[in-house]
Amino acid sequence: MKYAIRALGGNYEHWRVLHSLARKQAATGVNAWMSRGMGRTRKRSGMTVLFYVFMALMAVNTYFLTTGLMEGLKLFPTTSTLITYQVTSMFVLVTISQVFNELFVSNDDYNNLSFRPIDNRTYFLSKLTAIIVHLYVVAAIMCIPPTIALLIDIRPIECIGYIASNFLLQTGVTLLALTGFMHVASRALTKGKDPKVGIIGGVVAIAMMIPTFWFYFLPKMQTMQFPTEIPIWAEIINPFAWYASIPAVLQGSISMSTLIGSLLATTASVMTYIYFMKYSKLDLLVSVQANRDEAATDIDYARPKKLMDLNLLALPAAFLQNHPMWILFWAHLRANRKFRTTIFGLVFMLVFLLGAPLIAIFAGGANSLDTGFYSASMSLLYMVLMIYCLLMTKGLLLSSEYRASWALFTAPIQLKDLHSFSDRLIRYFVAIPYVVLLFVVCCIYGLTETWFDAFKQVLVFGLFLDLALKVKGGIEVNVPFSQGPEALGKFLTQFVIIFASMILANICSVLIPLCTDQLVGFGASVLVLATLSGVTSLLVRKRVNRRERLLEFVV
Amino acid sequence: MVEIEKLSKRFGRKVAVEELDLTVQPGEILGFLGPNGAGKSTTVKILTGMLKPSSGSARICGHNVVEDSLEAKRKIGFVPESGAVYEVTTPNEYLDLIATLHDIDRDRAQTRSKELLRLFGLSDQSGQQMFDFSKGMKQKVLLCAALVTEPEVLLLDEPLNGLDANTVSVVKELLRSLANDGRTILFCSHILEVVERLCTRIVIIDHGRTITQGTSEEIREKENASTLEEAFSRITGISDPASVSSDIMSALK
Repeated sequence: MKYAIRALGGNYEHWRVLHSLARKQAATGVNAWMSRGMGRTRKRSGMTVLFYVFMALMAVNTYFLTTGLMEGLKLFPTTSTLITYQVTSMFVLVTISQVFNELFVSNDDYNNLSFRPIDNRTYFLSKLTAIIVHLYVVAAIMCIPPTIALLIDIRPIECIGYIASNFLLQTGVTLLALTGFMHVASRALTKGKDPKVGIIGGVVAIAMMIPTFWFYFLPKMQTMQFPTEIPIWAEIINPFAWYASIPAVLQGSISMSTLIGSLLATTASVMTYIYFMKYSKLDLLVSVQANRDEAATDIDYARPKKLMDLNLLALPAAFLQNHPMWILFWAHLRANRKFRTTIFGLVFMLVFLLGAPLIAIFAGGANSLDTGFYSASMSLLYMVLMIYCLLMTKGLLLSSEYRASWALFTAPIQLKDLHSFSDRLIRYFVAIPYVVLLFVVCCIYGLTETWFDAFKQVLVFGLFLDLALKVKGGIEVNVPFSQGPEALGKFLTQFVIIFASMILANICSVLIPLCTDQLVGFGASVLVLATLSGVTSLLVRKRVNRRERLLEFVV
Repeated sequence: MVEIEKLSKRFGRKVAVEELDLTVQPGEILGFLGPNGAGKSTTVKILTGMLKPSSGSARICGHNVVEDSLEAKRKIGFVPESGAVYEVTTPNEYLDLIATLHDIDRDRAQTRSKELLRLFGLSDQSGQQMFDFSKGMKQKVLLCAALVTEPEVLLLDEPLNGLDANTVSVVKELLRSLANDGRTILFCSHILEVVERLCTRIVIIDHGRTITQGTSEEIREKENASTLEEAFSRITGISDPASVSSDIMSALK
């Protein structure tokens, strides 16, 4: 290692101590953080293994139960490869950016290292070497399920190509996204702009637009039957397709499209590594901090209402902007990186996952009901929203400034009113718009026979979601922004929320078609769910009243 | 008025406050003293409703802090020892948040906030997020937040932390004026010179119990000490700070 670090231009002695420090920071992301949730802090290696087992379970569930991967690989191998690449990338990106967040952008580094005589290359190498093992393990875990599926149906040579290209993609995309993040930070917060970083930022922006691309691209594909080969123009503008063409080439499917794709994939991987290695991050951290002071003054105060300027959000915002918590919510959204990461990380996951089931739906077309694609895709759509809503209710309780929540506990306001804010926020901004969007998607793309069928399905799902939110609100009664951010990281909390959401989504995907098949069944379902909702409301209200009296500010 | 009767608070086996009795009259500035971990902050947290008492009772202007907590909270202005503010907010937003939580008319609160921020020298920073504020600037914001609600009772836990000498003088004068205006003030501090000059009465607690109380002169006389600091050292256990200091110096060699 000594020679490698020196060959890469680093100072080995510095690297050794910094790498050790970085590994400990990474451990706060996975091991220590999970251990706290389990009430133990010592068995770190055990916790890491548990974390990876959890990841593997997530992967198996996502690929086999929800995206219908087995069916897809038989019917549409090329597109299914793309779908799995997208889903894998999403998981790797979210895991690395959420779990290892502190390692990439750590305020501790600024406070403790920025004034030390450390060169940027050594600092960066210490970070990279600390993160790379975890990055590769996560990427490998996410590659396993589709590989198994391929081994069953397809030749081993293609499987090798699949693993290699998927692996290159995951590690490459993650590094690109990180570079992109630093680029955005540098543009927003520093005067100096690095043109090379700007180019990389552009590439990342394109990569991030993939889900949007699918929304536009796929309806066209639907009308001309599902193609076996990706058109050359699509190959060029879609980085996922570059990587998906490598297994195709190894399988012997050589065309201009797949050759260009393979070439682009290889070049992109090499360029990513080279640019990322050149990037000096410590300098950026220093300049980011130094430029913070230049915030504009705003003596004539007006209550924050920027979201009101966006017409689409004006209606839900109108319900909440007079609530005192709105001020805190908006301030957190604007200025708290961890809060933004939590919220937008989840939004990103939502958008990204939406791409996959829609592809499957479009891919299946009218025959999708027979292939099982349809129910699997709807299950994924339901799961995404369930997970998002339930994790967001938890996310709104957290703040790195939870120590300041004494102000909420000492205010003459019922704590249950503060508690209900997060519930209302999620309903108005996420649940209702999403259910409406689902209805529109079903109608536009003819996923149901009539618009009334679509209405029935989304209404029943909406009632299920309402019930889930009510139950969650009753289980965890607390004041928003009053818990430390590590609370979300508690392994058991996340595990329970995600698995509960998956089970609920799978139940919904089975029950909803049954409930809405006949008008009588639909009416009865609505009646039962509405009654359940009413009874749950009463029970939850009682529990919230009881729990409110016990809430204390203990810091 | 603040009335505390046989107040106790336990955290598991640990007793933080034990059968504490205390009254603070309107117009009074009570110095509430004790060594670290004596139970001062826990008592104040119970008065503000942040913690529930294990037994006993506490009242703010006649309102029980547990049974009638909202009314009790409405009467309080509080500066916490932690000095924690939501740094994501600007001073303007923070005062708006506090005023809204206290149901204060928005126009009135806004005028008052602007004036308070100006008087504390924070007008130019009123639109900046508080990430880069010094400890003293955050403390000024907290004082503004405590005053913006026009409270009848002020609970101040180390309110002078981080403030510059000029602002300390202003705050001391302000507290005297507020007391003269009939407000009730509970003042926790480790700066005994300030307590000695400012407070009309002093209560010293240790291990959650009252050890002694009276005016500064009465306590000094009782302990036969020339200063409150000397009396405090004797009451709370360190008899000779000079010898402790000398032992520390020896340990460093």
